[in-house]
Amino acid sequence: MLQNNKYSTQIEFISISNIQEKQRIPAAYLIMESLPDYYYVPNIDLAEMSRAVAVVIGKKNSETENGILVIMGNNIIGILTYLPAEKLATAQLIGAQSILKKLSPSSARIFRQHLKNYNSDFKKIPPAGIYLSRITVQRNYRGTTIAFRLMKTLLKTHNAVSLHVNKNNTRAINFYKKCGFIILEAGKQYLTMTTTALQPPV
Amino acid sequence: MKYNVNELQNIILDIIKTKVVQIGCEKNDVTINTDIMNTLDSFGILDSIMEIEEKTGINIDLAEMNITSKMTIQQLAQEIIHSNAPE
Repeated sequence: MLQNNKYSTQIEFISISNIQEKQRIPAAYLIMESLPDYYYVPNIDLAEMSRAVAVVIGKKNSETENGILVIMGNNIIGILTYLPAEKLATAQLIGAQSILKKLSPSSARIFRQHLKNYNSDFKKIPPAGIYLSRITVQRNYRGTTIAFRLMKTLLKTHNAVSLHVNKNNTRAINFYKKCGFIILEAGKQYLTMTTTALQPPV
Repeated sequence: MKYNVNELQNIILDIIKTKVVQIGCEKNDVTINTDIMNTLDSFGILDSIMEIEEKTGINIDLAEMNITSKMTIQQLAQEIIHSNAPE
């Protein structure tokens, strides 16, 4: 396991709005890894999907309009994206449409069918605060405290945060709990978690 | 623009009516004042948008439109016309 102190002075956190063109594809692969059920579609080449996702990063009104990149040297080793919670429904539409428009016609047909069958089972989130749409750290750097630092950077400026997480992803659920999130509601496949600022009064 | 707002909203109306029947709802309940965002799920909406593009040949870029969490068929038609108007 990598020790965080080995990296603590070498990484920097930058706004997604400052992403460089050459960083888009690596960032897209990280985003895809954060939600494989959505992005990994049989018969769509990963490279093609990554090019489509890359264009959406930082796109106005999309789920990835706002975010933080973790940079080490010239590499992106982590990413976190968020948006105002009240805009989630429209941002999902805009993101999906942007990807469809960038895929080849045959891949777009496949992705369109995939979207029809994609059962997100996401319960509604509180309309206040922000929604954490994606967070992931490159595999080689998991087990360090980079994800904690990434989340801490977000929570410094936003205390009301909600998210969805796959019920089977115990590692992620424990991570969010350590960051101060509590389970608000359980769906069949996904949990809705929020920071205490969004918890209903008892 | 090949269509005016009334023509476009009638095209959208027909498409949304077909969509609501597919999810077991009554098509006659759909009017130009129906809130699409709360009638269809997100992928139903996306599919409808693509059908509108296919049927009309109009490019609809949601990112460039003022899409809100409540949007009637009439408002959608107006937004499409507005976002495709020559500058």
